[in-house]
Amino acid sequence: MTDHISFETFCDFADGVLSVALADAVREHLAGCDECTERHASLSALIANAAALPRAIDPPEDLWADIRREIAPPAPSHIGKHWAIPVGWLAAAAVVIAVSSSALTILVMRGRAPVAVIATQQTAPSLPARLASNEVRYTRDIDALQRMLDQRRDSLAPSTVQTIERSLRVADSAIAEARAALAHDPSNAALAQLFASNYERKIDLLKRATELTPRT
Amino acid sequence: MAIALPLTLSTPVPDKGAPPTARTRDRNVESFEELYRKHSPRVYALCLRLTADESLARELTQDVFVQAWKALPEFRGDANITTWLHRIAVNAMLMQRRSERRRLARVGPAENTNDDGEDSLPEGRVDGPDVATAIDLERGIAALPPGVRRAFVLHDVEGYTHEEIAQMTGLAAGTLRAQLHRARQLLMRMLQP
Repeated sequence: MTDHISFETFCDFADGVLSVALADAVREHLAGCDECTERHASLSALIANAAALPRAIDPPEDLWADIRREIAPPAPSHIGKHWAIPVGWLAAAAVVIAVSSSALTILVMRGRAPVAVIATQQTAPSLPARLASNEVRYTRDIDALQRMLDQRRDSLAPSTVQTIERSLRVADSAIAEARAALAHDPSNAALAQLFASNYERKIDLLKRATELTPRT
Repeated sequence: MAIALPLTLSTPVPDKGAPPTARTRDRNVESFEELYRKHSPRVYALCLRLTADESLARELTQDVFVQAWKALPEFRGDANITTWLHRIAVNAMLMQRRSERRRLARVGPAENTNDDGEDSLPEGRVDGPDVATAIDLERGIAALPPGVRRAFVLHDVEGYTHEEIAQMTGLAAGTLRAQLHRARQLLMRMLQP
């Protein structure tokens, strides 16, 4: 082997995949060629350094919580417990959601986009993947609670049902508002938090609605 | 592309993962958490190097363990669980790359790049804002094009053989070999004084 050794041959030599004859020829060449010896040393150092890199790095602390939520979503709590919750609470809670959500959305979006346009947007705009994934989980919990509530609907007074439905509409409106704002400003962390908290409040609202005492 | 490897590293995890217990095969959440605590540092390290992006690495690690949870009943206890988790990670990353390519194809003209960086990295120059001065292997790996980075991380960092990588990725041995050589060549160029 009189010419310099190609980089591919060096790699194969370092990986031990050359035939015995070729490997011997490489060794023979290296013994008499400073340039190739230097290149070979650089490659060997790179491979050794890569192998010495740490192979374990701690993931973010809160990652397990996200995984756990996905593999074992929490069951709706207090099923079957009929605590006496005033119906008026639901309406009040819905008003709190609506007012705080709108005010916060306006504050967060100030100077960024016309709020009126965002608030009245009817179509479901697309969300960043991470938020969309969270929304799937929220929707799943909400669906489960909604089914429970539907089963109990006949046992509740019509006025109570009306209050619940009105409260849920308010909650949905707050969610839609935050969602639309997020679609315009997907990297806004405050909006993302507002979006999540609106969903959590709706879930809380539904949980409490399923705990209402039947009419007597 | 942003990557910042943490300065504090976890306790090294032995190479050979112990097979999961019967309870983990039965998908007991508490046992699965034990499995996660034991193996997530190696899975996360792999994901971080494969993606070169902390938020993507987090998503990918989450995907890996959610998929592992679903597939746990079918896991053969005699296999190496680390390799099994790594295989899921590589597959998940490949899926992510494919959907990203599809998304890019939908939103605009094809970028002048490919996984091997043949078009995006002209001879004698390596892409990335800080590569010219930051002579650091991790940063160099992060700056590699995705395809060649995957080959380098799996072979030279994780120590998998060509055959094992071919099984994980579905790539031909010749392609893998070319990607590995390309990665080393780029890194040597980046790291030279």
